[in-house]
Amino acid sequence: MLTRARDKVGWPALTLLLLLALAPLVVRGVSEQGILVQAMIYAVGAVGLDVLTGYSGQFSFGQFVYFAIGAYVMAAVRVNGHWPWLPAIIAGVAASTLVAAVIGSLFVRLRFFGSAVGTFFLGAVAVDLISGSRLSHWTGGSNGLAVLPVTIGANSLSTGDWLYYTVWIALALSVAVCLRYTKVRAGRAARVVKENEVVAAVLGVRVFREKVRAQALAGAVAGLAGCMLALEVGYLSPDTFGISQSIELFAIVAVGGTGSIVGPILGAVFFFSMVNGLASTSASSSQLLFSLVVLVVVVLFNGGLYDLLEKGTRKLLGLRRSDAGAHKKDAQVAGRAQAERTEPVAAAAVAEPLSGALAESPATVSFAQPSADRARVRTGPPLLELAGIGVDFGGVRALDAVDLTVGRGEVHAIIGPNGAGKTTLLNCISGIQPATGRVVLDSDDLTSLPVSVRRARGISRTFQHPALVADLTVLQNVEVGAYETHNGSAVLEMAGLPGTRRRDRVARDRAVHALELLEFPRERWDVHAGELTMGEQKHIDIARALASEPKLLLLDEPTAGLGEEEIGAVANAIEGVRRAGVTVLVIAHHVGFVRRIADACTVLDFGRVLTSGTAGEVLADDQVVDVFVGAGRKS
Amino acid sequence: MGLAISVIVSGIAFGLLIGMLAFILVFLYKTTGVANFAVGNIGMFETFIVYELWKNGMGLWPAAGVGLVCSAVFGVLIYQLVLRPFGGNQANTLVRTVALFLLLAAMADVFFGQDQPYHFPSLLPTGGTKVGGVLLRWSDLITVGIVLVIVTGFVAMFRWTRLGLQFLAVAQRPETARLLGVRAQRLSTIAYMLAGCLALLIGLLLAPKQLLFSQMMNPILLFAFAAAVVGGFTSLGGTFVGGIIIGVVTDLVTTYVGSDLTLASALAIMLLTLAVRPNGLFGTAQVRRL
Repeated sequence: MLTRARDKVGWPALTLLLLLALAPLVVRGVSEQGILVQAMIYAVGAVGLDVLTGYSGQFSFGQFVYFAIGAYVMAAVRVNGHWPWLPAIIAGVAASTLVAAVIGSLFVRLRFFGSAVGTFFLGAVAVDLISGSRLSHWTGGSNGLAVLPVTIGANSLSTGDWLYYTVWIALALSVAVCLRYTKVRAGRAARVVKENEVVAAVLGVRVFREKVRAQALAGAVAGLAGCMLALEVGYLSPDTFGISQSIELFAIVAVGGTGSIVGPILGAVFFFSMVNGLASTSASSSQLLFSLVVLVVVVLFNGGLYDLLEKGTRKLLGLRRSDAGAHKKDAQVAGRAQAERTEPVAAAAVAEPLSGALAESPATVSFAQPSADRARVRTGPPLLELAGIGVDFGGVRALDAVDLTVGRGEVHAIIGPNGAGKTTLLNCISGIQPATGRVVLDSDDLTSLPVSVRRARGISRTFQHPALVADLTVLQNVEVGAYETHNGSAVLEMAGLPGTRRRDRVARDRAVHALELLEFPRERWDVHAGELTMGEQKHIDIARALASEPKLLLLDEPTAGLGEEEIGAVANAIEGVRRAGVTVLVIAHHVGFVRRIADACTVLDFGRVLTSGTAGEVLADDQVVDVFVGAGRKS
Repeated sequence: MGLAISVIVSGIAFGLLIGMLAFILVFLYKTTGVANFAVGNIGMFETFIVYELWKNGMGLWPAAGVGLVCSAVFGVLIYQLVLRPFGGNQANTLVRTVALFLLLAAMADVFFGQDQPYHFPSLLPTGGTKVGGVLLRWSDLITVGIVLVIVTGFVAMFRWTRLGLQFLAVAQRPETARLLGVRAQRLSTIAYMLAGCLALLIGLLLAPKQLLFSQMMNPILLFAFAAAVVGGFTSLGGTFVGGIIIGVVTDLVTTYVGSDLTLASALAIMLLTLAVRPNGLFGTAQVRRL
């Protein structure tokens, strides 16, 4: 559950759709075809639920609310408004999309558990409303509502092959739209949101909006599924859209495997074959068996049917899990994009070509020798000015009137013992942590601005625990950080217009550039981030932050937990960043590392600035040594 | 006016039942990290066991006693067989509880449900007394008493026993508690044992009021979620206040507006709480480390 989301499901999806298209040639029985029709109808909605759960990390135990809206709106506008059937279906889908967006924007504030409960609740409320008297003019109340027959020529879409292929088309449409969503920027951004919302926000992703988008998409396909259900049953009653159906739909997705698009379709076929296969014995015993299967799958086979199939196929073909071959094509594309780059990227803070000077041996983190020829004090107006920053956590004063000035182009280190407020200070600068005092970047007062705007003004950061999306490749991870803004319409993105294509290309160029600047080995670009070492992850985190071409890069303990050699690599990377003209504010514990990279250094202790100056001065300060080593050292 | 007061009184009694279910939700949430969607159906299934014992000739009180022992075992089994193996992440565990929710309903349908719904005999005396022209039902008053006793018991446990202290420690800082030697899994097992017993109690108090059937717990489960959110999902005491608010308001809505808006009103209260006080009336904000 929620473990991974897959990218390469296009071929499996197409295969499954073709099999379903050909199935009526083999499956001749009317009742057997009926089972497949029902399964495909549920699958239309299940695919959307998978996008919501597997790709954006949200829960819904109330998808049948949107099934109901699609079905009832379609039926009602045809009965009351005499609409033709196609516009009626479009109206149904539009209504469910709209309601899903509105309700989604209420529920996304509740985090994953709250929205699970909220949607469950909503499912129950919807049944009450549909069967109650208040809406009975449109819904027919508990009496239900007849669906007018839909015909093309003399053929009824409600029976036989016509029904089968109408539903098949709906499924194909749903799969196509959902697959497309997972490939565009919005879908990738949603996966960062799933991984970690704070990190996503710092990367410029509009967290709230992306979550609502996934809700709306899931609602839209659920509405379409509702319309198909209306065609099939021919008569709408509140019982068709209860909370048990919603929960069953979720169970279908869980059994089929989240994050795979194809899995939920398999799950639906499995569910209906099983329920109907056993229906002759007893309806409730087939329910019992299904819920047992769900429980067994969730406890023992976390990834569901799709994962089992995938592993089985791999074993059969003798492939290993990290299929380097499949990724090769992407690497070539990346290389070509880089080669085709004719004009420099606008405002290219990073656009300096690599110099050979980075070739310094990575293993030489020396405790003794600071680089002698470094311009220790920069002139000109400072880039970042903090004045009187204060933060309270309950009774604890985490930061107390912190003033800090970071010069343009310098590498400024923040050191201090655990709990000194170092990370909190970075949070204040990037806008995650509300604080008193003023934050000024490049004479631009950012104090009251939210995270996304601060990023747009040129602040970018990394985290102590790099929250990379494990199931995206290195390059894809960096690309998410490379978009200038994450604004814009997801519908246009999915349409693949030239404007959005250009935008994707620019992001890719910036990502490629950042990776090159940090000298991340090209053969590792197409590895899934989940397979990287800790050192590599830290490296990619820096690249992802750098790809937005910031003025100021905030690094939160880039060396924590790394070995000597990896620390050297990070130091090299930071020197590369500095040469590109980006100012760096870095939290570090490693004195040798600070000595090597830092121009200036500030010491925090108990939320206050202890001292500030050039790295050499600060590290020689007796007070500082006391804080770090303890007062007894002189004896 | 008399009607309104008696509606409010029965609302409070029902609200305390809601509060008790919400208490189990929050108690499990705090000790095991996941609120259990299946708690309602656990109580429903246990009530069916008592009903079967009673139908087959056992006295109602002995049947309830045997049922209580079964419930404790049942709670332990659920934790050990369903939730503990291959301990998944939070989301996985949540889905396990949802699967359990489906499974218990299906099991009740298959094993006991041929002729449901059933009338369930009341453990409590019927009738009531009039105080100042307002009818107070004995069953409501005794429900209030039972809940008070249980709350006192839990407060005493948290305050004065080693076990209670360990529960509080795990609830506050699970990792730290574990490092200090609290045996978290044993604690979770005990939590589920207690939860199983409390769930039966709710079933026994609820079934006489509204018939016994496999879906009987669905509405009160929703109310309990709302109550837990209103009380603040981290506050054990707040659940009862939330329960009373939800109980009284939904009772008033059912009486004066219409039963089709009962659930909707509970949802509205929940959403309103979240909009105004995201951490509920008594909850505390949780600080996340990055």
